[in-house]
Amino acid sequence: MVAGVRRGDFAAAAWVLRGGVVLSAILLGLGLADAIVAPDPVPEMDPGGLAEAFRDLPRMRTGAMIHLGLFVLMLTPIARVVAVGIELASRRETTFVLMCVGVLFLLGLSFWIAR
Amino acid sequence: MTIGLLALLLLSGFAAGLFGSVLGLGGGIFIVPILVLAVGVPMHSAVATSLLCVIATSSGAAWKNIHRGFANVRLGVSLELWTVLGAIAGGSLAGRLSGSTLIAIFAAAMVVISILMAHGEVEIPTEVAPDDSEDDEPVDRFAGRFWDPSSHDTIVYQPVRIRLAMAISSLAGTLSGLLGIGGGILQVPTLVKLCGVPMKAAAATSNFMIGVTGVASALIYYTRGDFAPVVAAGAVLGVFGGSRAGALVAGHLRPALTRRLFAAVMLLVAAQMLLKAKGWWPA
Repeated sequence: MVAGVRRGDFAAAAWVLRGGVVLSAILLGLGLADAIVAPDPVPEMDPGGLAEAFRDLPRMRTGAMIHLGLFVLMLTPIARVVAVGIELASRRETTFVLMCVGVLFLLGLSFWIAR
Repeated sequence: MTIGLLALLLLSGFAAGLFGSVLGLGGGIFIVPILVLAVGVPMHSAVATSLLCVIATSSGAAWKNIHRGFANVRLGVSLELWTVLGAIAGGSLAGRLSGSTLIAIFAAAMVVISILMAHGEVEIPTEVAPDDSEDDEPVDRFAGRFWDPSSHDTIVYQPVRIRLAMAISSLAGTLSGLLGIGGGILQVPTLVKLCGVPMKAAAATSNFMIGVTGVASALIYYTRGDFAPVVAAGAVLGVFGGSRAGALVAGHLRPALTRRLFAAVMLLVAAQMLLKAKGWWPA
């Protein structure tokens, strides 16, 4: 008996990845177009920050869209881990669910370490 | 931001995505030297940008691999726990190293990879892998199966030596976090040669993992302020296009000749990176 991956399994995870890639590409494309036509030059090497990006987005400030696109891009694999974890939980595959939780914990840890 | 710079970034990303896709390496090994040598981006920002490109190429390809059943999700989830751990270590270590030290390490990695590329053709098993593992895991836990359109057959396999793969995965994660490369150069041969995973499933499972691995260290670079968002956005969009183009042309190239040619180019670029590390490369 082989309990392997079959075609069509983990469909939600696949859609999360596809959606994340498309959304981030749109946001990055719009952000770059905005940076080109903006009257004020956008500093290429300015790191900025995520909090700043969210603050600037409602005001449609140049560069905020790029930050948001990069944020969506980084969020995409994390959302994929969540989607895989949910599907594995629905099949009661506890060991693999715990591994997904472990990955999410480590990702949170990486953010905490960097601070 | 000028149109000239945007064009340069898009072109750099496109070239990295194209070469990475053709050679099955991911774009990281190409985008870092292009950004450092041609665009003049600081090494830590180039690595951060490369990690974003790795996330983009991984996410872009992984959804297809999951949909087709090529990626072994259970094996991927088990190994990515270790790649993420390594990526955190690598990302943290990179913050303690100077740009020139990181460039020198990257150049050394390029030399090793180019030698492996020139000499090492990965064996592609089509048979079911024999279960000669001394691992005490239940035999069906990581088992995989997929429909192979090239052989018109269902391939069934049972990965073995999972614990050894976990150890090597942490090393691949460290390299990814330190240098911004995907880690597939280490993961794919490990899965194929040590674990008995068919090439197609190994490449898909490695690709499935490197996105999450990239995020672990990208978060560290982002929080540390090493990101150059405009540079990253241009490169990521270029990589999207380049990896798609690479997938189209890959089937029409002679693999052995292509690998040797790129190995020679990589040795040349590694030498230029060493000059940069020494400060002898024009800023």
